[in-house]
Amino acid sequence: MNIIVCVKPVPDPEKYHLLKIDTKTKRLIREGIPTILNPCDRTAVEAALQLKETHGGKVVILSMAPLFSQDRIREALAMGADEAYIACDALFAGADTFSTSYTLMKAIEALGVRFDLILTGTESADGATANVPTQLAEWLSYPHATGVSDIEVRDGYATVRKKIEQGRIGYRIKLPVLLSVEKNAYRPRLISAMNVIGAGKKTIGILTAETLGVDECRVGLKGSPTRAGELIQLDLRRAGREISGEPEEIARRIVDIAKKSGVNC
Amino acid sequence: MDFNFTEDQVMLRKAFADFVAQEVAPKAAEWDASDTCPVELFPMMGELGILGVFVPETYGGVGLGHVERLIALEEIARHSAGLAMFVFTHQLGMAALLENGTEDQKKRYLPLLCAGEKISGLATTEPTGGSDLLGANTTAVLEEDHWVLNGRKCFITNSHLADLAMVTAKSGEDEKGRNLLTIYLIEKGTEGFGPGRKEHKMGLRGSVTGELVLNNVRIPKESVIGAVGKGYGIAAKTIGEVGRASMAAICVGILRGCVEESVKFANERIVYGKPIAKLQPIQFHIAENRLDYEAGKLLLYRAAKTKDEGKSAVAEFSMAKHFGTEAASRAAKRTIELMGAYGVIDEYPAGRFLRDALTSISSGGTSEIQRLIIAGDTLKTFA
Amino acid sequence: MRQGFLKERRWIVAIKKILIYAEVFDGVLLPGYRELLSKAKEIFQGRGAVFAAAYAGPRNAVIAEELRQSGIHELYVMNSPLLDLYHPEYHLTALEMIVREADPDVLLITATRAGEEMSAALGVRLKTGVTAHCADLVLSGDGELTQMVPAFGGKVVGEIFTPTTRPRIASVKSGTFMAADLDAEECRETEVSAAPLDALNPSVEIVGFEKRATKKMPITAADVVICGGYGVATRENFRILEEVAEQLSGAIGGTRPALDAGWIEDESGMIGTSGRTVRPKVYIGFGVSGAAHHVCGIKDAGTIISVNQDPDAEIFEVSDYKAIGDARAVAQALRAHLARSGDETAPRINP
Repeated sequence: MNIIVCVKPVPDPEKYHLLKIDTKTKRLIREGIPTILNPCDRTAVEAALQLKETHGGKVVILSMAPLFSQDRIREALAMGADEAYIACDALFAGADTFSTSYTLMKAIEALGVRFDLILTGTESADGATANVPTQLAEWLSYPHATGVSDIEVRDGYATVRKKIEQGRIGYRIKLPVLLSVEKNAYRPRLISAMNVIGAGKKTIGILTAETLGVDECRVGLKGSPTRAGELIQLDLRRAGREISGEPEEIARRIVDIAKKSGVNC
Repeated sequence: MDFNFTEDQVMLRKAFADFVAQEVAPKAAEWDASDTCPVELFPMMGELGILGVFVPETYGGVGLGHVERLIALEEIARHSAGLAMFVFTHQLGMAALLENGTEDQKKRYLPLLCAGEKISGLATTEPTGGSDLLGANTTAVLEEDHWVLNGRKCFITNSHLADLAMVTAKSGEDEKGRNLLTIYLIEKGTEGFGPGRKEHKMGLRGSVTGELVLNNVRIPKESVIGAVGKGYGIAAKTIGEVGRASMAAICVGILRGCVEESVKFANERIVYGKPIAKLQPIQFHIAENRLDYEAGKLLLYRAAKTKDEGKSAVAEFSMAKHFGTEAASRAAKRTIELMGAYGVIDEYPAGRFLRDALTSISSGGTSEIQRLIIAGDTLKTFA
Repeated sequence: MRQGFLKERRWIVAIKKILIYAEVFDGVLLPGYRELLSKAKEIFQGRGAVFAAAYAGPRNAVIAEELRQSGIHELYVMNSPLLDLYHPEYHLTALEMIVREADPDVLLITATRAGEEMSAALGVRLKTGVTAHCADLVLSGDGELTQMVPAFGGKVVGEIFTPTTRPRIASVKSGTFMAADLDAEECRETEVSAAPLDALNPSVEIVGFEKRATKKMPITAADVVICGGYGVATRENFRILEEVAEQLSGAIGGTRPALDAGWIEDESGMIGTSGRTVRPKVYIGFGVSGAAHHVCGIKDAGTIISVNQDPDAEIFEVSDYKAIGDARAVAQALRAHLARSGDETAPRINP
């Protein structure tokens, strides 16, 4: 069974508090913030590896990412994947989810392999739109389900459970299918030393705009139907009046304030 | 002269650190408090390649070197020096086997040891002395095709756990009447061979240290590791390079812990209305912790790289071990003082760092022994 | 890259029709619809815009009437038994057909799990932009829709425009906007044919549904919200907060550390941009540091009271009242105080 997992390197969410906006250019200053593999994506890679262990086949990692984040892609490779590719080109810069998913679609097609399963994480830690998995499936005309767990494959069908607000829906979907995997559905495995060395020996394939034969109007900033305007840092400051004293005194004051704010207690 | 780790080494360190964050850090304090050894982690560490990282692939290892081995120990010791002790003692046995065993012995035992399916150890110390390796009282007598061993070993780590123990015993005398030692591989359960009392240590808790008793232990001729009579050289080299290197790595882990914990505490602890990190005396402590850590790290990995390049690194490891253990003890005390009353509360690791660092000093040769080794080398090379 | 694109546009797309997806589950209209309609009416008021709703589901006269009376001018429905439980192919195709029929300039969808998928998919099917999880919708000076989206966990909010394609699709999490009382308008109804659904050869089959046990009060509806963060430290301590919430007839929520520690079950209890936005009369946070994404989730609360050991905790900057103290001790004191005031028969010990 051939599985491809789409991953994204993102700025480490643990370090978001270090982000600043340059007051002159209004751009985000990202220096000093390390890049990691999007946490949700590790779950997707784990799901793929487990399915490979059951059914045999190949797991391929794909990312539309800048070259400097190669090490993060290599991490996904070191979890146990067989191959990795990065779609990387100056033309891809500034892409929104529409053109990102288009580019990923072209990359998957260019690999020339029929992938039974395309797995992704549910959303990226930075953009958090959750758009790309569904949009990629639509470009490929693959059936899809997002936020799934309990993936099983049998006789050319995948069964999954999709989480919705009111419970879980069970789907049975004819392969090939794209699935975004719920973050806690699988526990990403630890990386072994052997796999680090193995991954270090592999070449990560670089796919350029030319290799992919993309329509230049569909990629990067040019291909993005949404455009970004200003970045705004919200001013949410409030008075911060101090309540001091022993816990009992603090508790009393809190109840007073709550009553004054219209709460019955 | 490149002071940077390679890309692979950086990735390896991260993989080891992820393992430690998940499986070691949350339980380290508990292992220390209850003095329990997490034997159950061994197969997982084997699978992740931590145990056999320096063993060639043909024998089930990862095929890397001692730099990588020490990176793993440093990462583990950052949180649990006791577990690191357990791991490297196991690796002592593996190293002795790897560098001196026959092809048959290596093929038979190393894969199991790399996988963490069997535990190993090296037993040299006796009541007659640790530094005085040659003054062993444990005897080995050849009777036809069997060796018979009698004696007692003490302060042996992994004493109660080792499936395969490498034990030194006096097998004869040289022409000057000095003891000749041989290293014997003894399997757990061999009649007459077994652990004696278990010691309760001040530090490096979570590793098991105790006695080994040998009472007419009969083992086949093939149990000899290396050549008969060559045991002293093998033991000295293994301890000198692998053992001391590991103690140094453990202390570099402790040193890094001291830097990280003191920075964290200094930034969070508010006294006189501001974090104590703003106070100069605290800054001096932090600077000194940093100096100790950086120096310890450099000495360690310089020695490891030298060994990986195939050169002798005995003096280098001696320097790294001496400096590392002493500096870690200093830094741990400094960190406890920086933290005030919190430093002596068990919820914080500083107390454990100090106990672990002090306990490291006497393992793998005391600081006095190290100074003798360093002096010997210095008098030669700087003459 | 910033405002430069405005020069690219050759025409300003006037917004004349706004279509809002009405998601229904188990015969109940989800609150997100009214919230979106209220917001849309608020920002497009006085501009002669047409407000429309889209319904795709089993034929339901009650829902249809409810929608007709909700304040819209047009109602588009596709009725089919195939549209009961969310089905990615059927529901997507249904909404696609409705949108093609209605031809709106703006499509607003509540960002439920289903809504997220539907909005994203339509973006590709209709070759248009999808702005997900908007924190706010604003009309710019020239009448263009400005979609405000939190990024990097809510640390910053970015403006997003969909300048050249139609419809502009925006998804918004339930609870972000407030539902207002809207007067009914004269409403024209169009039934869109469900034939395309029957013609579909679906790859997806629904094989089951497990309902989730209904929980306590949703935090988006409560007057009082108690929130526990990293500083609460243990599950035991969190339980004290749960009791306090109950004493105040409020709801209990947590930050991401609380979710990761398992004190709250899932994102529906998590307060922040990736979870829920709350606007209670009173919010009391314990051991919450004040990470940007959480702060975004409480910015419209009435009174914000924060309890934290760390005098430099960021949460204090955005709080009305700050109490520097141990979360557990204050929570215990609060519980004791509320128990005493609630129990009039208890003997009082005068200090």
